[in-house]
Amino acid sequence: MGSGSRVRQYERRFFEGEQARGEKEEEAFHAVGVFGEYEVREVKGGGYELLKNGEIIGIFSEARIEGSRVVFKLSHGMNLEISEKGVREILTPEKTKLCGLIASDGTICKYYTKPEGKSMAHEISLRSVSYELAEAFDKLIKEIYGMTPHHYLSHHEVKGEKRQHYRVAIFSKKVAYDLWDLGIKGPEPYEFHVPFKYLDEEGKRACLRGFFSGDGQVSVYKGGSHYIRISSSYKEGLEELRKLLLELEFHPSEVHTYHREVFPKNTKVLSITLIFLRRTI
Amino acid sequence: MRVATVWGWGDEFEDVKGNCRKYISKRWDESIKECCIEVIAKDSEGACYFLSAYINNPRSVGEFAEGLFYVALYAGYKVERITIQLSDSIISDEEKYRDSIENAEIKLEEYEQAIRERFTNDPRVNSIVQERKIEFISPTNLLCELESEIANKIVTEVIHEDFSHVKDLSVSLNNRLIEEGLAKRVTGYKIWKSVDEFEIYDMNIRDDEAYIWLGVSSK
Repeated sequence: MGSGSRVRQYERRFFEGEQARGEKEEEAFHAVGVFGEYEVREVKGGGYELLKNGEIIGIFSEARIEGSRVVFKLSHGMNLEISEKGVREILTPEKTKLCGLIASDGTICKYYTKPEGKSMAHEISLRSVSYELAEAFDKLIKEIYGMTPHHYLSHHEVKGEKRQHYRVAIFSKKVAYDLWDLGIKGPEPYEFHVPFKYLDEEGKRACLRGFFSGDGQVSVYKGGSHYIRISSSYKEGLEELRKLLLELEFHPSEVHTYHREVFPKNTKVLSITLIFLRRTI
Repeated sequence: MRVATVWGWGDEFEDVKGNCRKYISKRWDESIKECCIEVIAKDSEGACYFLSAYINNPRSVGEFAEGLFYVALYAGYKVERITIQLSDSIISDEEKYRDSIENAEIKLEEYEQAIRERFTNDPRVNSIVQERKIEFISPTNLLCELESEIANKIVTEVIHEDFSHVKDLSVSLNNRLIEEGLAKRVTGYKIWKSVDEFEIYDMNIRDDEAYIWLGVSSK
């Protein structure tokens, strides 16, 4: 399985610290479900075992049992899903919402803290004029990583009136790489991606909720129709969100763009690209 | 003409002035006659807007950009990015908007008539007309030129499908620019729609009316 740290991660996630290899006494259990080569059984006395081809590969204290799958809780906003399609790690709804929020309005970056370039900081942050959004980010970070973000409040005077804006940040290499590994941001500026391979149905909705919180817009137009819009300068990301909406059986429009008439004359500028979903209430 | 993104969402708000100054100090040489600072932002109803300032004094750029940034930020909720375009000629002369808002609205009617003429006989529209009232919805660009003591000129541009929102936002931006001392007065307006590039990208069909959404494909 590679490096020592990867083995420790595997043990922490799959065995919750218990030694599962080697001889095991016969235990009373009842089968919860069989999913191809995988089997899940509940152990009398508490806990669940995950078997592959008859061999125990994981022990968990809790499980969520649904018709066609079983979901085990891992750490840091990850779950393990067992189904007919196999085994995969999926994001919890909270972590998916955080991913959507970071993809729209957040930042994951690293930078040198000193001019000599000897000390590097990793920052995961959100900047906003909305206090509610800053609080939402704060709450998700605490829930998923158990860390308390730093809050920075700045203000700007506009005609004698103070307007505030917020920055909520944590500084953690571990969290930065955890989120980078999901592929939600970068490598280029403004790039964002939907982490499809880690999403179940609940996760897809949570991802949209997170992204909407940052970059969604709602308008009421003629006839009382409400329409929801997502705009971005990154077309590929919008196409992925459109695909997500289609998978959830919404009916988004095609991605389209605003054009501008700027000099030199007749020059078109692709400035903002949009998709929108309309629903009449 | 060189264009560079000097600030993007995710950067510190306080870095706007410094980033602009650094860029200007590195790139502004004797050949440069004027630069265009552009702030690109959006509001919670989906309107996109652009604040462009044309400046020929490199020492004014940083502070002016910061002023534009905060006007844009508090008019909406997010500034996407700030760009600076350097030019070896006076480019602000290319943009002149002298219409009153009333004349601009008359021009809007002409555009909308052109849209009706172009799309009424479209097969997709014909297939749903029957007894329905058809309305075409498309984005409108409202540009406004403002006079400034520091900049050679400022141009604001607001784009959205709802013209009343476009107008309100444009007026709000212009008033803020004047209140903040970045602009002196409004010189004039211009309405624009990219009619020739419009395509139908969605239709909202009801019993007695249908809304046809037009826009420019991103393909």
